[in-house]
Amino acid sequence: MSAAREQVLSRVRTALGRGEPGDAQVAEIRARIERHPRHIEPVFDEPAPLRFRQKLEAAEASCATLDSLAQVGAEVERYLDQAGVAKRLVVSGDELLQSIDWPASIDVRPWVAGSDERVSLTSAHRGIAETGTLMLLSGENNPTRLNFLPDYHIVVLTADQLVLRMEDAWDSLRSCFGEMPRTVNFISGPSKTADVEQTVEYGAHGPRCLHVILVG
Amino acid sequence: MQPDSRHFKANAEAALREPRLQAALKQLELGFVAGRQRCYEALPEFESLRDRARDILDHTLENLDAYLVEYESRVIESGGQVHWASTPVQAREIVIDICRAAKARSVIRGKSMVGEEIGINDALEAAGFEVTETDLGEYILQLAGEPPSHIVAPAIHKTREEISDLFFEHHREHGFTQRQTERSALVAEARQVLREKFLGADVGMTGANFLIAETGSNVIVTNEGNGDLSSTLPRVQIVTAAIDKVVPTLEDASLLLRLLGRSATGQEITAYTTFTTGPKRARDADGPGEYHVVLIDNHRSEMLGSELRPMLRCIRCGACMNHCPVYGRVGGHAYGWVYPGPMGSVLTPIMVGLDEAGHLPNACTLNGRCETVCPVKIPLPTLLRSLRRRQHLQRQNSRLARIALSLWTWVALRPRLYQALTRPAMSLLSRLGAKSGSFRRMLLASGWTRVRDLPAPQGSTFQARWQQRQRGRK
Repeated sequence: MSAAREQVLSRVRTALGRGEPGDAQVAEIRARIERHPRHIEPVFDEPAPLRFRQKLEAAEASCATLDSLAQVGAEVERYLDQAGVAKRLVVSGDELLQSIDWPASIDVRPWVAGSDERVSLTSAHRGIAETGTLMLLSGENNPTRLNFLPDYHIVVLTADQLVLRMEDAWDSLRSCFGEMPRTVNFISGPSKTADVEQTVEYGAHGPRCLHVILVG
Repeated sequence: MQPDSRHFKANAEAALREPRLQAALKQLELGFVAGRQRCYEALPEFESLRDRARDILDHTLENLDAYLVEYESRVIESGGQVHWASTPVQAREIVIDICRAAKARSVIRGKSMVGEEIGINDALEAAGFEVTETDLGEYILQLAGEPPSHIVAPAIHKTREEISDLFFEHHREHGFTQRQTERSALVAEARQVLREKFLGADVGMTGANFLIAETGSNVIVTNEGNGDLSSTLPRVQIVTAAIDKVVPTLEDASLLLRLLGRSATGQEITAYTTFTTGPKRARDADGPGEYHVVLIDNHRSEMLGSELRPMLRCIRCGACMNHCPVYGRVGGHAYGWVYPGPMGSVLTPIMVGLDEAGHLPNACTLNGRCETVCPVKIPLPTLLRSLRRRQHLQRQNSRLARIALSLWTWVALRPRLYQALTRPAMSLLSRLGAKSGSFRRMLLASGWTRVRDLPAPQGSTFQARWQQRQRGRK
């Protein structure tokens, strides 16, 4: 153990007027971590899908609601047409996205290192209604770069993936995985900056446009 | 950066005569202040969230050593490394050693105030590394060779024309030969230049808005996505974070996040909130191979053991400076170091010394707006007063101030004498100033009357009026 570590910890303990924490104290804070109590959570009345969509749109993301996964291909084509960009798409390896039927007019490729990353399509682990936020997890099939490098980021989410609050998303993460993925991205709109004259411009470093397709 | 807080008075006077700075500061009121107010009104739970946030952070500070050790264990379990630094010098050495061991050439940085605090850019450049700031505001300042003037919006004092000139001068080498003047074109040009830097960097450095003891994660809150790219693309990630950034659980962080964006920029949540835990896992598609955290004390343990402990609750939202009438007139550079405004006036004297930064706790009217808006209820005016008290006890205030204070104390402790002196004085001043209602000049008060009129008293002293009122009630 480094000398600096001991120095910092001993200064902290001196400041707190005690020595090393006793077993009881350590047990107490571990128990609090284990319990991870929830705190005050803001109340809202709107149904989750409505709230989710309203909040996303307020942050200048766009949102489409579809009945079934079979319509995703056509919706992506409509979106790319409207945006006026070439119909080339790099798709993450997430299972949900593999069952999409793509129109022949879109050049769809699975992501590999070195892919053209101008337009990406990914899934999300959860959508959070309170703030209109997507929760995306890194992993074997989900490179984090697809959430940030493209100009256009399209995210497919099913209605049963919607939760009310960030705390619900944590519960879901704990029960599905039992550990933190390397990266958890909460995304609540396209990239933006107000560093020039305190006025908002979109597409600072991340995607200029975020399109969410909510299915079911 | 070298502190220049001892010249606060001269710097502040110069700032008052700078029309472009004054225009930018006025904008702050319309943007951040109005945005926070909208959020405040839209969230009935705001006040109870503030109370809970204060309690969570007080609990964490009371158990800080235990939570830091828990956090450290989780980082190590996830494959990361934790380094400890008592001083900025140690922190810089650790970062440089990591970069050297990784045989790095280029370092990209996401915005980090503790990075500014330890002066990491200059140290890395002196050690031969190419360093690029990637937050647009910080990048503009790096080109200009200036320090930030606001902890959330670092380049708030820069006009569009100045940014145009800077980009025109520095981006030619990247093939941009046109001078851009539109905001969108400036942002797009910086995006292209910085994208190349992102893709070519060996080391990505970020700060941390929070560290989570439960999981060993660091949390970064941004709107641009630069912190996220810095955490994802390079092969080595270094997080610099102060020891007061740790919170127990993901739920605790979630509560604080509800307050952070609202208090800082008037956003319920920022575009990106990212939790990063350790290096890339064996099967992950991307991410850095190495993950380092540098935990920095730099006088925080000293504050923990003093009456300044509540300052360690600070979550760096900037609401105190946005609402400060002094910051709002003089801007951030006048304060002379990394942290400006009310929070800076508490931190700077501790971190660079009360002798250097003695003006700062006094550059405050104690109006209390900062405390009213602070999301974690830091009693900033009380802390500033306590620094003034330290100054007085250490005889660091002026001789004249000490003599005047001692004299006033002597009189004030003798109520009869006090009243015998103040009653006729107030009555005299009231009669003298009755005509215009104020004085343009007054003996012993030139510090006040040089820049403003002194209102005339209304006739009798407060104590006399109070006694009269009490008698009237009976």
